[in-house]
Amino acid sequence: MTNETHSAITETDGDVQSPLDRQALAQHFLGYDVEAVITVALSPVTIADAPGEEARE
Amino acid sequence: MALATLTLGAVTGDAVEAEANIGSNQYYTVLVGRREEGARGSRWGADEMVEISNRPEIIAAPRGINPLSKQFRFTVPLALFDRDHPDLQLVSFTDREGNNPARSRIFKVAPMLGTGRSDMSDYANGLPPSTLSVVPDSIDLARHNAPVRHVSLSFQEAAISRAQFLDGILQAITAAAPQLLNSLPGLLSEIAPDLVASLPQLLNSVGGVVNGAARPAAPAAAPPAANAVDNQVLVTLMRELITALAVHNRAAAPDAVSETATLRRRGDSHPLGHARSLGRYAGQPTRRVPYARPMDAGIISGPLLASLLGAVAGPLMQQAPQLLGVLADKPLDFLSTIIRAEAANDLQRDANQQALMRDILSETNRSMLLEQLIEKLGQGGGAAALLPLLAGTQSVGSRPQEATLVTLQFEAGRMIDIGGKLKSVYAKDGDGIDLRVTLQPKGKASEAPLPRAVVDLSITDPATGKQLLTKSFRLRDVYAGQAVPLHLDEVDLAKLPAQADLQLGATLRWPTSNGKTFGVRGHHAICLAEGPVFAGFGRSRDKVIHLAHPGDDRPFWNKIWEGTTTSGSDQTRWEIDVTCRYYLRVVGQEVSNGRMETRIASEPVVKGSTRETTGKMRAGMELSVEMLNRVLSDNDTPLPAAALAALKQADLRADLDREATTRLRLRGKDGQLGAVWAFPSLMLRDVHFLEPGAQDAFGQVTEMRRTTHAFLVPDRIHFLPMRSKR
Repeated sequence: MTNETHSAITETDGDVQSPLDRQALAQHFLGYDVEAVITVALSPVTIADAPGEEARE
Repeated sequence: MALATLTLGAVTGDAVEAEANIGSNQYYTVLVGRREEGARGSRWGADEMVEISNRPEIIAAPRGINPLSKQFRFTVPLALFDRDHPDLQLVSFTDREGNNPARSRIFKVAPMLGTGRSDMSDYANGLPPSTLSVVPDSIDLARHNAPVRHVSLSFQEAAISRAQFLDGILQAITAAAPQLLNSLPGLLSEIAPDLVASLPQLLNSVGGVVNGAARPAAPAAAPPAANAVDNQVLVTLMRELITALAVHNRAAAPDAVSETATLRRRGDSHPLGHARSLGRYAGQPTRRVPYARPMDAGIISGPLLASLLGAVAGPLMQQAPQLLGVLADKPLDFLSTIIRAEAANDLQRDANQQALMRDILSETNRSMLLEQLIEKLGQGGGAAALLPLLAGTQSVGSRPQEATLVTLQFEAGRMIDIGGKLKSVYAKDGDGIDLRVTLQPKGKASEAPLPRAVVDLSITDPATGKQLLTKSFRLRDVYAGQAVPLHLDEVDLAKLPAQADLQLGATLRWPTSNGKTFGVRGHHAICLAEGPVFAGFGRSRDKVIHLAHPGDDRPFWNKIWEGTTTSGSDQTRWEIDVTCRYYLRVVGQEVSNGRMETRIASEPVVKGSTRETTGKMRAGMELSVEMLNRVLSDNDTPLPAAALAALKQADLRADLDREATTRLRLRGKDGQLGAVWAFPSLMLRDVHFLEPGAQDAFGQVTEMRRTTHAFLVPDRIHFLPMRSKR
């Protein structure tokens, strides 16, 4: 019961095949299970600064 | 009753704060160590720690008002925690000998990043780990030791432009036109009887004749002279129609209205309808912070237009082919008329703004001279020279009359293509520059010069509208058609930024023999170059750098979410299932990177025994050019100082604003801590610069040299969902 899988994440969720090794990354997080490495390509986007009140929030 | 309830607080300085309630017990101790591997956590405590790092001492609890519920706060030095001892537990006793112990639930204090306690600053927000981690002004203690700013997520994706909006309408009308026009008279008689009454007259004027629902439209063969009238009528017709449809739709389709109202409410509070923001601003006056800006004045907005078309498409499909014929012949005409009308409005606004600026400048000159005059008089003389100048200035009530027979033009000189734009580039690092203005007659030029005139030059930052420099030039014998130099010396140039567009405005005014003053105004834009100027990115190179070390690359890592169940509740599980949109922006003005706060559209809800977080998540980072160059220097040749300075000055938003969207799902049980980290990979890419190569006698650059370097730009983003082991 304590070993049941709690996450449904798979490594194919990202846009591109991740070039990173999950196990190697997990070594940096002792005490944690790294569930996946999700790699997504960045796309151009047009973003504007929101009005001042929003920026202050 | 003996208790041992522990609640983690904020990290202040080098200690973590916590709050304890030990009930009727009198003594307590705090254990720092590690939960026994494989031990199943209990929400009611009773777990035991192993490998305790501190020497626990049994301490008498402060005397409280309620002897049966002793609550107090205490701190634990961060130095006690490391990767082998990340957990904290409170144990209370009835006496100093340690009898009848009560153990609290074990909390993980260090998130156990590779460098152990380096991540303690993530708790500096004062929130316990059971809530979203927001990190104000966090200080990074990782190997790179670069501070990371906390920035507000103030982005909103750009609204659809007016042109896109009109194109969209045109496409929608073209697609729906056959059905729409078939049904128009019947619908109009229901929703806009006044419009129907005038419809025959309107349609007659555009070349078609409609009487009831009978006759086909005649070909639109209006003479050119009548086109303006026709278009005006069509515009009026469309506006009436749209207004009527909106009123009708509002009455007939309450769902659509309520949807619009919902969108408005959401926009008023937050782009994502952030529940916390809603609560925070409850009871305050409504703020207008739209997610998508209104795309056109009046009643039309994207959702409303969609709902309108949806609501009326059915009934509109059956009548009035005549009007369809008319509109089908002229859709571009009436749309272009709308555009022309908007353009005319824009021009009028600009003219008003210029008139206002003239008034302000005139008044400013006058005020400055008056101040100098008063100062000189106070010093006992020397004011005589100011009096003619003061007399020459005009107050708002008697400003120069605009000359209509001449124009004032700046000499553009040789324009240089920088980043796809032709610019007049001047060298900032010389002895000074000469801008040139020419009084151009519209007709035959008078051979007599203006005996005396004054040019008021103002230079502003076009991005902010801030005035950077004003200077007046007193001229004599100004001939029409001959360029007049306006010299800016080194002191003037020092006030102006390099590698940035500058807006020039000049007013030339002169008195006439009958006592009037005439004036004319001209505009221009220049760029001051000092060293290399950013000229765009080129091809990508093969090299990709993964910033995959959470210690070395910590300034690029961002913990976008962290959570667990709420302490003391009945929840035994937690779950997050969100669509995450992650933004990256490269900024030049900041030295350090900046983590944007994470925003989730809705607060977690409890379903059964599970605490669920769903909806949309937004997060991101600002990467500084300086930090990217630092990574470059670790892996390749860094940018030279001059090129780096030019890149910092450049507006990189169009080239390097990036986003990535993915679904993030993670589930866990009570006592487990969940977290999602994000970090980027960078790609090496060519970046081009132009440097002044030659310049003319006026200081204007006539030739630029091109140089190319390599720089790192964001390429992809990696998400690491993780869950603490039991």
